Amino acid sequence: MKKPWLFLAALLAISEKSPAAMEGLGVSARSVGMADAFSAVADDSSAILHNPAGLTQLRETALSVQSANFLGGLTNKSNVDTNSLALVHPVNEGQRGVVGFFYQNFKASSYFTDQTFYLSYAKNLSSQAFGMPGRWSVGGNIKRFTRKYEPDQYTENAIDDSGMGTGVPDPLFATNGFSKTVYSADAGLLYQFGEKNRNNLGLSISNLNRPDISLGKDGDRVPLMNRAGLARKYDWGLLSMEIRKVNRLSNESDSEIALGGERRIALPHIGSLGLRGGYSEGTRGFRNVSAGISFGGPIFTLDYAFQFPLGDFSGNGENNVVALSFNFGTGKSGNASASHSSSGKLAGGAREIFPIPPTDNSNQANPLYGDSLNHYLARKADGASIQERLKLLEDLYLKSGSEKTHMIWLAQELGALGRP
Amino acid sequence: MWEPVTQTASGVPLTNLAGYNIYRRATPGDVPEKINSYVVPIVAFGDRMNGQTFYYSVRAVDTDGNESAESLLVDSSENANVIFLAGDGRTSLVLPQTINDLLQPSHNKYGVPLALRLKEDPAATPNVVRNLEFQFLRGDTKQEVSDISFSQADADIQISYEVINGEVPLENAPAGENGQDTKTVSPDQLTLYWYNGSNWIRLGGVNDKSGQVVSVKSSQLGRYQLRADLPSSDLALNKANIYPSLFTPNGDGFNDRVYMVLENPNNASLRGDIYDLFGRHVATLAPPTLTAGTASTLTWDGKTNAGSVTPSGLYVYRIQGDGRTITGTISVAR
Repeated sequence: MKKPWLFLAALLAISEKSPAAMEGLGVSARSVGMADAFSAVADDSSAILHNPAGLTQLRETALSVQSANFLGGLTNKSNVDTNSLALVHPVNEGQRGVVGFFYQNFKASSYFTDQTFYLSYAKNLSSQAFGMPGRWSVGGNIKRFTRKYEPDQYTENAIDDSGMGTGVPDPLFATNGFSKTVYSADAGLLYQFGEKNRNNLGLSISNLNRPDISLGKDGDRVPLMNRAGLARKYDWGLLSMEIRKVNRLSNESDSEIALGGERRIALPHIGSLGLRGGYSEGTRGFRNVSAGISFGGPIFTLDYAFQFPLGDFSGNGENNVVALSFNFGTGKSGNASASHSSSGKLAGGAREIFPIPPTDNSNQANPLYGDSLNHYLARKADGASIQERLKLLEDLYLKSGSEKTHMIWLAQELGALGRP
Repeated sequence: MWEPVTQTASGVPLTNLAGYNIYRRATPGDVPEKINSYVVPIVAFGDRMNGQTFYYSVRAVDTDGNESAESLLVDSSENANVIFLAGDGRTSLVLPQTINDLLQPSHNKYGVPLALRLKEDPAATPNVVRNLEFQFLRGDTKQEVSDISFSQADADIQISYEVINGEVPLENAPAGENGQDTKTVSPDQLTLYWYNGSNWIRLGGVNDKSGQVVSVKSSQLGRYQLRADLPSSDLALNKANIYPSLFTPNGDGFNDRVYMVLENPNNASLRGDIYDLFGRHVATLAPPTLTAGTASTLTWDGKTNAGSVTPSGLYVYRIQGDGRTITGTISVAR
């Protein structure tokens, strides 16, 4: 029987690290906890920001909303916050690709507001694409970006070069108004290969056309951001790294490396626990360390991550991200990532509770059990439908010989699929 | 030497100038003593000082023996200060040689001699002790000009206050319950503010309690207020003292840089840096000139150390000094 799924993920995030609106970093507790080394992971709705190709790993329609506050550690306080909403929908259970929508509202104190709308699409390619076996995915975004400045007393009474009010408005705003809208595009590639497709290679390029966001058309182009990431997924979690190259300044290029890891621990009959850590550094003194923890239950997942700068910028306040995800309903399969236990993510940030199968797949009562278990895991990793997984689990149940450890795992797996 | 007088006080050409009288005093507040025996027919005069600092002024004299109003004071110190002295004999504006050439026709954009004027308006709010405006006036038209400033923050603004029974009266404060009391404030709780055309900028100031004068050095004339407000004892930066915090560094002369005016009572050396929101270093700010009694001003022109204009967006400033670190946000618009 096929039941419709409804995911509603409500995420509350508090962070002191701001995502520049067009860079899209650091908006989910999970990615922040791994220092944003996420382009090769990209298995939740924030893939839209890191690597849209990763959306193909999602098999569920998902909705998530987020809110964040930044830079709370400054001595002269500023209200910098962002709100976002993501909607992801696999078309025909992903057979026709995955579409996504992301909206982000970034408010930079009383100075300006950035609104960005993303329309995303990702699709699997042939498993033999480019002559290399594995799981290939491509994806892209079209973005509409609007920056709106807020008038203040100095935009109306501009200051001259001596520091004194002139009594006339700033010509930049008087001539061009206070807002500008541009369109941009991103592209991404995800290659999953090796045993059970546990190895991930992610590539993404943001802001391909580098639109000019200046009011005065003076060449203030959105930076081109290139990301290349590697991730390895294990039964216990994942390790990831990412290299970023960005031309933020006109005559300087930023290079950064980020390292992240995630450890997931099954809590029988309760849910799962996730532990994360990350480190990133780069040019111009950029250095951050981060860590995170999550608890996933049958209905909700609670995430917490913190990140604080090292080096010259240290002491300006730690970065915190708290995310709370609610998961309603039962039904379809989880993500199509290679390792079901690596992230436990369902679409949109809601998490399936992934128990870890017994390490020893052998079964004294039935030697065929191990093979069936491996087949089940492989099919699950490939994005098998819920019906197929239930059928395979039923077969596993029959072959389990009622051994206790296997029965516990089977019960948890069925529970995660909404079957008691 | 001084500029020749060519007009009467009413602005008509002066046709009966006989010469000048020279006055001298030992302190600015003394009664001036005329030191020339005969009217001086030229625009220069010499005096023997014997190592003492005197304060000189000049009055024009017509052929009928009528004297003009007194000129600005000039002292005989090494700085050759030009001094504008208010009627109370203590409120003053002292302009050292390094900046007072702005008053001369060849050193200002108007090409005319500039005079100085002081206006005092009633205190608008209860916590204001004095509410003054120092103005430049064109020597030819007597019109106020407000779009010029000194090249350095060397203009010494000195604003006096009254002390009665050890307290400074706040004349505009609400009366007490019996209708007779006048609210007062301790002389320790006085702070100078300057109006930048939009906001009052807190400067602090040096309080000479024996002379009953609070002073600050500035490059700007304009409106100043002496307020009943506890001065900061260490490095401080009010949010209002960062202006314009949304600025447009496009070289058009409007909002091209952000000013950060710090109270720096201990005259501590300062370091200022700009970062992006991810902690990447963007620029190091030029250290301010440290002069006792001067509010320390850091500015950023929106450029990196390499000289390129930064992208529009939000930035974090960090200022370190006097054992403190002050951080906050500013924004670049393009």
